[in-house]
Amino acid sequence: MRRRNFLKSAAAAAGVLCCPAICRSSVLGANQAIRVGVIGLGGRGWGEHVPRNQRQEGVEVVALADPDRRLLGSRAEAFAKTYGRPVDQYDDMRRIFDRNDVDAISNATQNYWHALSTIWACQAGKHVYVEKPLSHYIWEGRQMVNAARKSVPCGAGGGRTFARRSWRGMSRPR
Amino acid sequence: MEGHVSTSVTHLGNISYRVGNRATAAEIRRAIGGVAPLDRLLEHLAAHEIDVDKPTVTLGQWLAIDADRERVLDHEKANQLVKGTYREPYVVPEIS
Repeated sequence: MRRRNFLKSAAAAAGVLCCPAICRSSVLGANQAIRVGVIGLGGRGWGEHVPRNQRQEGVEVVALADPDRRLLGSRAEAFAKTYGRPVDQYDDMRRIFDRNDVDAISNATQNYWHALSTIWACQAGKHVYVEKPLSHYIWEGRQMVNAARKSVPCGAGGGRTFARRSWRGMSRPR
Repeated sequence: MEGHVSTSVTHLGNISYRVGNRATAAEIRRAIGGVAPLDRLLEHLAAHEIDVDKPTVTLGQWLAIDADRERVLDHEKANQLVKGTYREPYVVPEIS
């Protein structure tokens, strides 16, 4: 198994948390695409998170965020070229969390940003896939788990903490 | 949750290292016994002509933990490293 097999292998990464907002099947219908925002557009975010989400059936990346506006602009331009449609750009990740039409966040921010960004996203009711390492400190990892457990309860109530093959297999950590 | 626990194990190793002290190869062996990674490390250092008979390598501190509370027992400095410091307004909130 390749170590960096993002979203493809069960339990590949230590840094995976998920929040429950999907179980949206009840809300949106299972056939609707899962809409993902990618935060952090460096090597991992742009090189792995964007294409690996895009490659999944029923998943589309609809928003990108990075505080470096020059990088953000060039990634968005490349996105449009690669995927043949525009993508929304944000220099503040919180504006993605504000959107009701974004289901999940693919988190490739810097390690020391993992905790706060994941907590914000959980508090906004998003699923989160966060790059490893999950946290920068033990204490903040606990706050992440608590935030994920607190966010909108998932009707299915499954027990997978680690990423399965796709967003649809994820559910709330126990 | 498992992600948090497995990440915490690596963080603990890092904390142990950061509160550790330089030790000689003999002292390290006395402390942790014969383990393959240590042999490999010493072999590697020897290949680079680093004298491990002097206190060159950091020996992490043995830490006792309260796993439920996710705290280190009886080691204030190590405990401080369990939690980070943050700059307003980017402060990770405590969530119960």
